[in-house]
Amino acid sequence: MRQQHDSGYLEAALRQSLARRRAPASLKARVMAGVRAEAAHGGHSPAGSRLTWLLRLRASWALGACAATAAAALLWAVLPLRVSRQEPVAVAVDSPGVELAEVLQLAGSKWNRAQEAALSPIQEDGHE
Amino acid sequence: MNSPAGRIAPFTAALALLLVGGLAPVQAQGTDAAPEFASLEEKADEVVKVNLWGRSLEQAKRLLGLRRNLTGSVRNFMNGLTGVYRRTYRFRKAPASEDDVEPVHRQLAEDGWVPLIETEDRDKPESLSVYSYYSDEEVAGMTVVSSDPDEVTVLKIMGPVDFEALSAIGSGLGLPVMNLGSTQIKELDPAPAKE
Repeated sequence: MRQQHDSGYLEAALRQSLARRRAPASLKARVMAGVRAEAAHGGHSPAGSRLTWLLRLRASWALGACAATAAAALLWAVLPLRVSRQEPVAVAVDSPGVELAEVLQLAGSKWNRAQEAALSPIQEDGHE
Repeated sequence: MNSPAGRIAPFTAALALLLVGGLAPVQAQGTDAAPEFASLEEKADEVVKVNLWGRSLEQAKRLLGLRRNLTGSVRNFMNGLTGVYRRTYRFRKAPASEDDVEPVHRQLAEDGWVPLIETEDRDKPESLSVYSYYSDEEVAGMTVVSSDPDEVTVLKIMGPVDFEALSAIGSGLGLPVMNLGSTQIKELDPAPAKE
């Protein structure tokens, strides 16, 4: 009963669609005959199997698109969290290196100043 | 006591102690110890302490060693270091006087540090001293003490000191530029007075 109801609905929909299109009357008649044959044989005609295949293809496309969208949304949501967690860790790990460089630079600049101060009276003496 | 087990036990204990001593970083005592100046710390409004020794120093060396623009002499100097300490005392309410800094010099002399360079400004209450420490007639460390009314800084570097490499670092050569440190260094290390 359901199959007959569906085929009747499809036939009506197809007839409306074909009426709107500019196609030869013979082609329209062949399409309608195919649909009627499909309804009579319960989907086992070659046209019916092609229709089922197309439906499956579209369904798989739709499912694939949904899965890709979900994966993209998940990545978009998770990736910033991972990046924000990594940044402070990198700074914390690098701080001993920065401290060492800072102390050495400070000691080096003070050593240079001390040397300049120690050497300047000798140079003055030399000029005299 | 003469059994083989009795003879092996002391060796095992000694080996265990050696392994534990070698693997676990233990804070060095005496000359190698972190400098502490209680009177300055009490008076200061702000204290900066950096302690790099043992595992933290090895980590710092490894991280700094990853930088590309590190010269060979600086890398060798850095790899030989066994302890790096910094103490900076800042004074805003009451300025630091010579009496406040005197215990620092006294403590260094008591610990066997030899003054290498001592400079004092006649016009300003500023001083800069460099001490070195000798072990087996080789320089095994250096300490820098700088003071002015606003700030007293003590820098202690333990290990064989390559003064040429240190001079290059002080001139901004051989060590990668650290943005974090450079601003502080400018604040801490004012330009020398005009002659």
